[in-house]
Parts: sequence; C-alpha cells; structure tokens
Amino acid sequence: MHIPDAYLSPVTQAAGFTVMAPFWATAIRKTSRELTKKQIPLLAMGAGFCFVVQMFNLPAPGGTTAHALGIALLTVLVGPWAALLGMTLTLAVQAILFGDGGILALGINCLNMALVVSFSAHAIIRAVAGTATPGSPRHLVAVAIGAFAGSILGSLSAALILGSQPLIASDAMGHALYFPFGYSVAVPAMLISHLAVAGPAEAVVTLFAVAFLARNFPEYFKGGAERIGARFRLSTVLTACFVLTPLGLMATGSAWGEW
Amino acid sequence: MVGYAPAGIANATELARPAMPDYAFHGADGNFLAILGYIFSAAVGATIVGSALRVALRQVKSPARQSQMPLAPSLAVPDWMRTPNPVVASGRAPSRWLNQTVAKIRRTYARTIAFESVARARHGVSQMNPVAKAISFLSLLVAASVVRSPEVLAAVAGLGLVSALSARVPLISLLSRVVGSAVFFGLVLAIPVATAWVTPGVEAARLGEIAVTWPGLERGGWLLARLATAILIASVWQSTTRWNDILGSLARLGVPEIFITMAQMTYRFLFILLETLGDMTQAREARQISGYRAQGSRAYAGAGSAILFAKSATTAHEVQMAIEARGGMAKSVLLRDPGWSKTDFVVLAVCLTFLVLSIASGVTHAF
Repeated sequence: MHIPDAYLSPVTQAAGFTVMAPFWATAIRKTSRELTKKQIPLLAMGAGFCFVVQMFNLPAPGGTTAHALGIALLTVLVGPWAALLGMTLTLAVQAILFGDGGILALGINCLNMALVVSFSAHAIIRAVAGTATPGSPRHLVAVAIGAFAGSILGSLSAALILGSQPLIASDAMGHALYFPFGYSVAVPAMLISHLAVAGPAEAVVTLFAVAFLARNFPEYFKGGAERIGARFRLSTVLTACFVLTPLGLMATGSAWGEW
Repeated sequence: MVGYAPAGIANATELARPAMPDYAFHGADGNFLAILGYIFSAAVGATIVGSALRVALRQVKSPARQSQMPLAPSLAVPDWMRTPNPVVASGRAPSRWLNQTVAKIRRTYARTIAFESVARARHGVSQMNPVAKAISFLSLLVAASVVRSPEVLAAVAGLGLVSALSARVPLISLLSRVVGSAVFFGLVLAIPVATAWVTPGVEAARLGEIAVTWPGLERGGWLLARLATAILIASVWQSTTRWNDILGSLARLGVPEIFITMAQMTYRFLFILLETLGDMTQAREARQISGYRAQGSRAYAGAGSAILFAKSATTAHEVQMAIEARGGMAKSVLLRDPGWSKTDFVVLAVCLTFLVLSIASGVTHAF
C-alpha cells in the first residue's frame, strides 16, 4: 500500500497534504493536550513497532507482497488520534530513510494507511464491542473485524486514488502520465491482495496481540485517558467525509473524457 | 444475466441435495410457510455460525491460559520452565522465510548506519546547510514528479548523481539500491503497460501471444525513469544528511516540535526494536527442530507481536524514567543553524532552476 512518488500526479500529492494537514494539526493538538509526558516515548515506540511489523512481507497473488500495518493494534491501545500520529511517524521514517513509499506521496500514504485505517477500525471496534471488557470474546471478535475491515478500507482508498490517476493526468495521446491503470484494474488488484493476505494478517496479528496483552498486561486497557479521542463522534466521521469530498470531485471531473 | 444456464450448472442441481433447498421447507409453497421457513433457516444458520465461533474462540483462549507469565523477574524457576517443551515435529522442513526476513531487516539497518557515516564525513553536498539542502532536494523531487521532457528528467537525475559523487557516497550500493527499488516497484506496472493489450500501437517485439508496442515501451520507460529518479534523489538526500539534520531542517520549515521530538526517538527505538526482533526469531529458530504448522506460525505472529509491543512499552517506560531523572526533556539540540555559505545559495539556485525548467517542460508538452 506504500505508494511511491512516480505513481501519483503532483496535483494528487498536493491534495494529500492539504487533506491531511487539519488532521495532523488536530492530532498534535489533542496529543500534546491529553498525552502526558509518559506517552511521548510510548508513541515513538509504537511507531517503531508498526515499522517492524511492516517489515514482514507476505507473498500476495500476482507476484506482489502485502503486509500487516500494525496500526489497528496501536488504535486499540492509544486511540485513533495518537495512532494517526504514530503511523505518520512510521511512514515518514520509511519514506525518508528507507525509500519505502514516496516523500511527496507521504500525504496520500498517510491518508490511506493512517487516517482511513485507524478511524474505520476504531469506529467498527467500538460499534461491535460496545461496552465489552477488553479481552472478552466479544471484544476480541470486534478487534478482529475492525482490523480486517480497516485494512480493506485503507486498500480501497489507495486503489481509488491510484485508479483516478489516468483521469487526472494524461498526455495529448490520452496516455496516463503516472499510474497507468483505471479503477477496473486498480481496485480488484488492491482488494484481492488485501482480502486474501494483508487483511487476514492484520486481523490475526491484532487479535492475538490484544488477547495476549489483555491477559498479561491488563493495565494497557485501563485508564481511558490514554486512548486519545476514544470518544469521537459521528459528526467527526461526517466532517472527515465532507473534507474528503474534493478528492471525489477531482476524479469525476474528467470521467467522461472532458480533458 | 447470461441468458441461459450453462449445461454444467443445469445438470449439477441434482448432484447436491441441500437439507433445506432455497432456505425453505419441502413443499412450502404458501406465503406464510415460506416466511416461517426463512426465519427458521436464519435461526439454524445463526446457531451454526455462533457455535463455530464459540469453538474457534475456545481455541484462541486455551493456549494463552497455560502461559501465565510473571510480570516481574523472580529468582524461583517458574512452573512453565520446569515442564519440558512438547516436541513439535510437523514433518515439514523449516521455513526459510522468517530467517530471510530477519536477515533482510538486519542488512537494511546496517546499510542505513553505514550511510550515516558517509553523511558525517562532510564532503561536497554533505556539508551543505541542512535547510538549504532540504529545499534543494525537495524541489528536485517535485521537478522529477512534474517533468515532461526526457532531457530535463535526465538532467535532474544527473544532478542527483553529481551530488552523490561530490559527497563520496559509495556509488555501487547507491545504484543497486535505486535500481533494485525501481525494478521492485516499477516492473509490476511497466511490463503490462508495454504490452499491446494496454497500449495499442506499432509492434516492437512479439513473444507468442504477448506483443510489445513502441508507445507501450515509451510509457513503461517513462514510469521507470521517473520512479528511479525520485528514488535516486531521495536516497542521495538521505545518505548525505544525518537524520537529526533532516529533522532539524524540517523543524525550521515549520513541522511542529512535538512531532520532531517523537521522530528523533522513533529513529533510536527503531534499531533497538529491530535487534530485539532479530534475537526473538533467532531464539525461536534455535528451539525448533522442524518446520511449524500453519496454525503455529499464525499463533506466533500474534503472540510475537504482542511480546514485541510489551517490550517496546517497557523500553518506553525506562526512557521516560531516564528523562525524569535528568529533570525533564532537554530542549532539542536540532535547531542549531550553521549559517548559509555561498555554495548553499548556488546549489539552491541550480535546483530551483531545474524545478522551473521541469514545470515549463510540463506546460509546453501539455498544449
């Protein structure tokens, strides 16, 4: 899901940073307000943890590889806003230091892998688990479903952005300048590998890790203050959709060959 | 939809006799009975799924119950150490995958640390002002992204290479990294794009059913060249600048300080975590005679990541205590400004010129 630089048009890259900017600002504001000093190392460690989990590439259909993100676990433990920040750190280190994912594509990569995954996983886990105690069967089922669905939604978002590239930037011959395939190729390619490999991997890693931590280190699940913004509301989700709408407009603007 | 039932499907209906065909009772033709049938089948389905889930969850719970680990180290030998491990011989050969991944991880960070020493040597681009360098390389990246003429793209890549040479970056490892990444990320797209199915046009070569066209080759080549140039520039920036200097320049460009502090910590934790992971897998391999069953591997993936997270949290706690013992977090030393030299201005001007040229090439090609 790490999109390299040459796959996205400059417009999309700029849009990625524009969309992410308010989320990053909110995450930093919430984190520095609600996060005690104690959690700054924890969050940095969480970012390192996501990084290590992502080093394990599993072979996926079509010769590509897929890997778990580790962000669903981070979301369960520190809440979606802090997880968003932790994942952003991971992606920034990967892009600048290891060349995994583009530097200019960082905004879009954060949108797909940090924002969409953490918030959708969080919303689904909260909806399914209700008030179940952490580590209870219902909570674990919720965690697995949330991690799986989050991974799928993140890949879907990446596929939609990649698939829109031929519509956004083409040369005079109608040939795409960046990612060359439309939705019909990008969406199935991403979804198949994530439904088959990455999604289950994310679900399994998160499920077992949460089960283990709830049993052996229950203190991680106490003290609701640690989970930043754990009580975010439907209005937040709607605002997010509202903010993301221009992306859709950008894609449909040329869908009928107006360019 | 198809307009006919394929013969295989039409004949196959009698092969399998479901207990409740079409979710209804046999002979349930009346409306009321049909509704009852639906409700009854829903209840049966829910019961089956529910009991399967119960069994599955019991599977998840039972092994963990036995491995109650003590939180604090104690001198007494814990119970789980006294009982001998069961011999897990699945009859499979040990999988090389885990070892290879760990070897890859260790190679990656060995190389990263090696490049840090290149950046410390301070030749050529390495001794530029970090902020000037950040702006220069970011503008080259944007240039590689918007450029539409091959000559300008080649010039941008050339500039990247020259700056790598000036800093005495080991050229072979740099190029192998760039080519390797470009091939890994790019060929997946470039090969299908070059074929006649995706890009119709004059055929360049044919291998059985697969035909490669000239316009397709041009598009695939562009994709690879753009990708390789972007990776080259990012690699040269990274390998000629220390991580702290990259962060310092980003802080000066307006990235909030809390983020910079965390990024600084992440960098340090990363290598500790990777080393811990390497030790964990090595220990596991050492305990194991034959390969793992799929179930065992999955359980290990989950429990392993949980242990890794617990270890991370313990380290984070220790770091926190160390910070407090020293009287709080020191003000970041990243923001020292070595001042701008003439070279900084010249390099920045050259890079900005390339950015303008690239944008211009995009405009002239677009119309």
